[in-house]
Amino acid sequence: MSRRFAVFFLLAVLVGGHLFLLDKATNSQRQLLTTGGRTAVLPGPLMKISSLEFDGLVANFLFLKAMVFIGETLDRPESPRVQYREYLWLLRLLKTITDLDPYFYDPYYFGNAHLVWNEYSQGKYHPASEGYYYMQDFLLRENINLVDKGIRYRTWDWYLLFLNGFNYFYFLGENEKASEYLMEASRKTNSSPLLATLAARLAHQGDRTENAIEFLHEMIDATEEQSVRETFFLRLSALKKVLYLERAVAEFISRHNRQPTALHELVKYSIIQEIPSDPYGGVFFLDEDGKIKTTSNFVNQ
Amino acid sequence: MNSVWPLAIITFKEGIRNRALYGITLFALMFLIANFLISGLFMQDVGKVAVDMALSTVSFAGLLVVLFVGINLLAKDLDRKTIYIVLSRPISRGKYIFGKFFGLGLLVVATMMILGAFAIASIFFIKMAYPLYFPRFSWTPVFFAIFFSIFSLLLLTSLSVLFSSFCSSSFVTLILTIISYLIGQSLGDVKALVESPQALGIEISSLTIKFISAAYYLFPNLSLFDLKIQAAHNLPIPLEHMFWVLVYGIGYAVLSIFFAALIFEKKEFP
Amino acid sequence: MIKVEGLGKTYRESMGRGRVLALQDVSFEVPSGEVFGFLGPNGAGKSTTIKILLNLIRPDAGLATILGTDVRRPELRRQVGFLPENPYFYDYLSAWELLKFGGRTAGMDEAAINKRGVELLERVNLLAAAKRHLRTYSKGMVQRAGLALALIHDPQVVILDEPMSGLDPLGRKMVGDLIMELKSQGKTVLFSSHVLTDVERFCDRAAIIVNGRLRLVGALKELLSAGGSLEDVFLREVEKAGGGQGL
Repeated sequence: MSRRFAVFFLLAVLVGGHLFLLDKATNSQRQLLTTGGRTAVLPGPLMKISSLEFDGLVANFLFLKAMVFIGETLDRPESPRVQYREYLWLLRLLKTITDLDPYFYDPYYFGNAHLVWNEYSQGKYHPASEGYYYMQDFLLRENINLVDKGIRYRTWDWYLLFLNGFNYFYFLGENEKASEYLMEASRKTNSSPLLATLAARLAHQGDRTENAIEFLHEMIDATEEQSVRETFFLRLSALKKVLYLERAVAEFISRHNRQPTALHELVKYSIIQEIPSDPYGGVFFLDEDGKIKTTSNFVNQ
Repeated sequence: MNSVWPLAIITFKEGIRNRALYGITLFALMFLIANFLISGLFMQDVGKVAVDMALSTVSFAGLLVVLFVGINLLAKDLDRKTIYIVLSRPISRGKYIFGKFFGLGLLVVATMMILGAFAIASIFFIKMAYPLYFPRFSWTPVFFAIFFSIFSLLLLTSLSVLFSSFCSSSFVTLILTIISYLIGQSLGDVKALVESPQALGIEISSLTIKFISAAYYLFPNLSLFDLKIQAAHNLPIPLEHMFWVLVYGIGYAVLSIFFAALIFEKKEFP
Repeated sequence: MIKVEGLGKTYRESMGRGRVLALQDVSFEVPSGEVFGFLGPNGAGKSTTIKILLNLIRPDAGLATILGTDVRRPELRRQVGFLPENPYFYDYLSAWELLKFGGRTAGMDEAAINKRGVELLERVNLLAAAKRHLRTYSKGMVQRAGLALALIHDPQVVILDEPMSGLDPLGRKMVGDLIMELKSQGKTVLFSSHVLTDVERFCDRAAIIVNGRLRLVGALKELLSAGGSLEDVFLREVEKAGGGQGL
């Protein structure tokens, strides 16, 4: 009887001790310095060697890591949400993933959604400041290179061509280049029938806002990820308002043979009822160069 | 043939009833079920991820079978002297090697068929759940990928037979086989890197290049048999490529078995 | 019949350059229909000689033939049955599958294998356990399964390495009966043992080997004529050779 009790007692102590020690050990682990999920990224060729015959599998898991990382940044209160060096890490990671499996669609799509459409590219941080301008430009051009790699491998895919067409048109203002991408895209099977028209229109200068609206419609159609779609929708509604104002300015010029001094004049001369509000929370204004701009610079306030 | 076949049969039976095989199959099954959850996490290329995961699982489980069931079957004959009851039959040394290799090959083919069926089922169900995310999918390259994966494992098995013909312990055979697998799978990529080192911005000495090209001719180029990426994206696989890879594989396996038989002929079993 | 002429064998030690002399100029002959006992202390060369007879080891010198055929020819072993010392078989095979394997490799047809297999399993008292995996067998059962395997193809020559070791008295009697039965069928039997009473009971002739050299060969009666039991003869020979690391 006493022996049985002793065994039971010992067992209870050992099990209790195990639970206590497990708790201690995991808590003390928190004191270790971590990389915050961003572990070192091996260059593609080395990763290809070390992943043996499991290149595709490793690419999948590395990509999951990229998604998890961006997903976690969504909860960050600070601004900018993602630091510049974190984007550089993401870029390296996506390059390695696409070295492992250059046919893998998701990393190109994901890269374009985050490396380009982010706080830096949207100029929230002093677009005039040299450093940020450099960052934005660097991420954009690297992303275009990444998407170009996808275009080289995914020869059946029209959407990557379309993405870079948009990047050239909207972010770099190189309409001719953008038009080339779109023409190429329109030749692929299953591509949108509107691409050829869009490409033709881009070949002419001007109509910038209208073209952007066309592009965004296409992108929204081909996008499933809700957060990315919302980004596009917001931009679309802002651009539609810009277009509305641009047309009003054109109307004003044709009636009065001069530039309006400010947007209020459009209301004063009854061309429009009121100045629409910027969905990003800023205020539209007429810049000295005659273009419609907004104080929000198309970034959520 | 009348003594090769019975030996192949008992080798196969001894292997297929091994508990380790059940463990490996269970592991593969768990992975294939997890495939359902994991591929659902991806945004667009769900089909690619599902095929990748399923085929990688099959290849890896097959590799475990070769390394831990196959080599064990070879080595136990020598370690525990079961070879006495085999060689005291009217079986020549050469036929022993052939019989053993055929038995192991049968084991690899049978387990890979079962694992392959599981993998196909897992792709099938994921495709049912996400039919829109399989835009480029086709079954044919998936079957080819499984077939060539089986073939590369047979090649590895022939190498393990060669190693066990001269290694004194099963552990050494295991290590040599693992090394050959690692080299065989990475050799293609290493050679590509060595031929254009500017990709990494490194310099490579001429000695290293010679060393690598020596390894290139010595070890089997297992990466030739890896068609997983092609299957995942339904990329075209030229018939000519498949033909030459197949012939290359058969040639290398015959060479290893031939050497194994030569070495075994001289071996003694004190 | 078994004939061994001037067998010599030296093992190289696995590390270093040491050499171990295992056999030196061993010659003897076992005529057909005879039961021949092969005696010697542990490590004297009994197993080495037997393994040479089965082509598991190659002699450095000399020649071994069975039924007039060089032992290196695999076809010869259709006529030879062998039970290794402390036999170990595959874990997941049954005794029945083992016998099938033995019969098939010897070129027997399925009907003959089935008939002979059942007879033998009954003879060694394993019929009830025939379908069980060998890894569930006791040591004695494994030994008996090994005997059945050695005899499945009805060989002319039977070579048994320490057939009695690890058997209980019932098992020893069964093996003894089997040897006598083989003798009555006119088979040639060579068995090694260090259990002298076994040799005394079953053998027509015997050989004593110590430190790799054959000390005595002859009919049991001749060996015993010098006086004393076989044990006395054996101990005397071991002592004369200055060897024997204990029995």
